[in-house]
Amino acid sequence: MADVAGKVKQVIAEKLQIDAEQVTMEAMIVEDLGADSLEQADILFSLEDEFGITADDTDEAEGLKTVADIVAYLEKKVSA
Amino acid sequence: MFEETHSEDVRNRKGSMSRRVVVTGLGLLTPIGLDVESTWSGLMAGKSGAGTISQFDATDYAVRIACELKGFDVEKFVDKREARKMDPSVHYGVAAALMAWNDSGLADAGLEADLVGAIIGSGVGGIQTLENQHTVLMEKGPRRISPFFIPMLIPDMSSGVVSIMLGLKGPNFATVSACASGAHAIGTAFRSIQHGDADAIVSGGTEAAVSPMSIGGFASMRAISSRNDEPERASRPFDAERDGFVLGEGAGVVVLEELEHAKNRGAKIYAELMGYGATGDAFHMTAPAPDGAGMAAAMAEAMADAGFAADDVQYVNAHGTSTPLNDKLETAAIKAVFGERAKDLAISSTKSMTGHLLGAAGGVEFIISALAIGRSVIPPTINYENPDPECDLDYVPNEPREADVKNVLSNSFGFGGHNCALAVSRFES
Repeated sequence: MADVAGKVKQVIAEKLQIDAEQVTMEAMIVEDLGADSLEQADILFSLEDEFGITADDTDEAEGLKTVADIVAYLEKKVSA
Repeated sequence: MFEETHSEDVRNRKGSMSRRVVVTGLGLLTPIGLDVESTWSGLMAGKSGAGTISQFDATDYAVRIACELKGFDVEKFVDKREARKMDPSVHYGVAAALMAWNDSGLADAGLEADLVGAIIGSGVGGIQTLENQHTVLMEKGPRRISPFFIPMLIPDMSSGVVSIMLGLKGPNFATVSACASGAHAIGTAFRSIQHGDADAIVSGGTEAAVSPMSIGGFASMRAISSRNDEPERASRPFDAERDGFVLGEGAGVVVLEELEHAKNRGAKIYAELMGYGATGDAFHMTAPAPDGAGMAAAMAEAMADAGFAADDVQYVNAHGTSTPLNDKLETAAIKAVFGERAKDLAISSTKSMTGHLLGAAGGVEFIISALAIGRSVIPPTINYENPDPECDLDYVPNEPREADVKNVLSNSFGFGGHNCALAVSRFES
């Protein structure tokens, strides 16, 4: 589902005002891309909106570290 | 209930506070100019900052005019990623603060961070953010409220962001007193430096309240002018045909610094802040007390604090909002304080040009007062055409006036009955 990854990268790049190329699948949201706690929440809410899901399983959603983690989580949610 | 106090009592309090406070940096962002020089040029040209509201569609509003900033680009001051987490009121406050800071040269002065503060007031804080996020709540539900909503809403965030950007670890907070917020910020910063809590403070006011709820609310109060067809003629303080203020946006921030500190580093000194008066009306939520008694008390207190006699003052930068009540009662208050001297005083309201910047007004007008001293010119009250028998003083009508200005009072009064006056003088060592 390449479109999920593309959309996630686009949202992260826009929210953090960085180039889309920096948002690789391996990139860690906090350590590599420098997101603070509010920016993480902002990204998550935008993705909820984008994909029409609710990340109410808070522990799992908060454990997402890399772009790939987020993509995998969303793919699971969307197909559920 | 309480005994009346007299200015003599206030004068007696002085003496314990020997540290002098000077102005060493200026930052202005107004509807007539995006920095100090362009704003000053606008004041000298008698330029009005008013026009039809462009930030939202005001077609259905009783009032469709305001004094908006023109061409402000926040990215000249704050990077894009940070800027999107801040309300426009913070953009303006931070921009003016950075201009003042750069002007002061304090960055290279080897200051102790603990002794430099930021006190920047705002009347309403992030009202545009509040309105936008309320729409999100109504349309998408509570889960979609931005995590940045609260930090964007609260009126103290300009002080917070300035301290983060400049590394200032001294006193840090905001003052909130409606249209006197910026003046109270400067008065409070003055006291902090006098008292030794800080050696320098970045201080003033900011406001970004040209929003649907704000325009609608002030219109419901009949506080703002509905001269929609002639926006440039709508702000007309002391004129008989005045019908309310014109809402403005922007910021005015100064660097206040302890005199010896400023002298030791060879700083450029614009003026000396000599006195601060702050009183409460104890009368009504929005109407000033009869005869402008609270306004007069604040002016008298500032003068006593500065050691001014009536004859020492050349210029009063009036609160002069262009509402029927303020201008009449401020005139009465000036007469009560100055007696015979009142008719020889130059009084002007620069709100005739900038509009009323609410919580930013006190900061903007304190700077204009300092500039009038430094440049020996008094900015005019524009749109002054029809004399009002209850406003019968010299309002420096329509044209700037060259004058040897040594001592100035800058007045700011806010809903809630908050009165504040700042006494500013030409610096003499």
